[in-house]
Amino acid sequence: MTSSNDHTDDGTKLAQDGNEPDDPDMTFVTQARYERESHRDLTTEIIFAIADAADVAPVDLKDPPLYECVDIAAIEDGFFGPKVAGHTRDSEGSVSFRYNQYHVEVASDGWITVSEPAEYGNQPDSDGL
Amino acid sequence: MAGDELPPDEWERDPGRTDEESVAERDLDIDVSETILELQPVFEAIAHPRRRYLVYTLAEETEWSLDDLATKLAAWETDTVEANIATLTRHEIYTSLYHSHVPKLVDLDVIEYDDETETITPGPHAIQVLTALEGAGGSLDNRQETHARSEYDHEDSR
Repeated sequence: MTSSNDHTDDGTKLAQDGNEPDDPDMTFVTQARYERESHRDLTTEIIFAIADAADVAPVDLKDPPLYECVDIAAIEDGFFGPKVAGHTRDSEGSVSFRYNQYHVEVASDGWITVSEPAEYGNQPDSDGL
Repeated sequence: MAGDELPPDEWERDPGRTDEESVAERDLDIDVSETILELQPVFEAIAHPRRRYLVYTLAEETEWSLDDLATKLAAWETDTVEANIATLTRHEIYTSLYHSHVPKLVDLDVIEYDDETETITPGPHAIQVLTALEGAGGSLDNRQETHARSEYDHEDSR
C-alpha cells in the first residue's frame, strides 16, 4: 500500500459517516490518486489500480473493457471537468461500480479505492495487535 | 433571400397542405434535416481530444493495430517522435483507448474493432467525423491536424 496514513484514515471515516455504502464483506485492496494535470486519464488510473490489485500487467487486464461497466470519460468530465468562464464545475461525491470481483470507488477528490469481497483476499487487518 | 425557390420535398407535394403551411414548414425543414440529426454521433465522437486524434489516424491509414495506434497518439499528444515513446506511456494510452475511447467510438459506429486481432478500421460514420474535423480543424486541433496532414500529404506524394 503506497497511500499515506492520512488518507486511509480519511477513507475509513467516510465509510463510517455513511457517505458511501460500507459493505462489511468488502476488504480494502489498494488505492490510487487521479491528478487532473496528469497525462494519465481517469480510465487509465483506474485500470492501473485494478491491475495492481489483481497483480497483473495493466495491458493484460482486458475483460471486460471498463466502458462496458461505466462510462468513465463522462465521470471524468463531471468530477474533474474544465473550467468554464473561470469557474470550475467540480461536483462532489463519489461513484462506485463493480469490475469483475472488485468494488471500485472514485471520489471527487481524485482518490480511487479498490476493494474486493473478503473471501477473495486477506481477512480485514485488525492492526495485528 | 433572393427569389431562388428551394426544390420542394416529397411531403410538400401533399395536396392537403395550404401554401402558407408549406412555406412555414419548408423553412423549419432546413434546420431539422436528416443530415443535421445524423451529426449527433459526430459531435460526441469528437468531444474528447484523444478521440479526435484517433479519428485523424484513419485519414492516414484505414487499419491500425491498437498497439501502433497507442504509439502514434502518444507521439502526437506529446509532440515527439514515435521512437521516443516510453513503454509506460504507450501502455497508458493503450489502456485509455482499450477501456474507454475505442468502445465508445464503436458504439457511435465511427470505427469497427476486431477483438481477436485488436485491429481498428473505419466504421459507417467515419467519413462524417473526418469531414467535420476537416471543417473544424483550424480552430480545434491545429497542431494535430498539421501532424496528420503532413503525414497524409507525405503518403500522397510518394
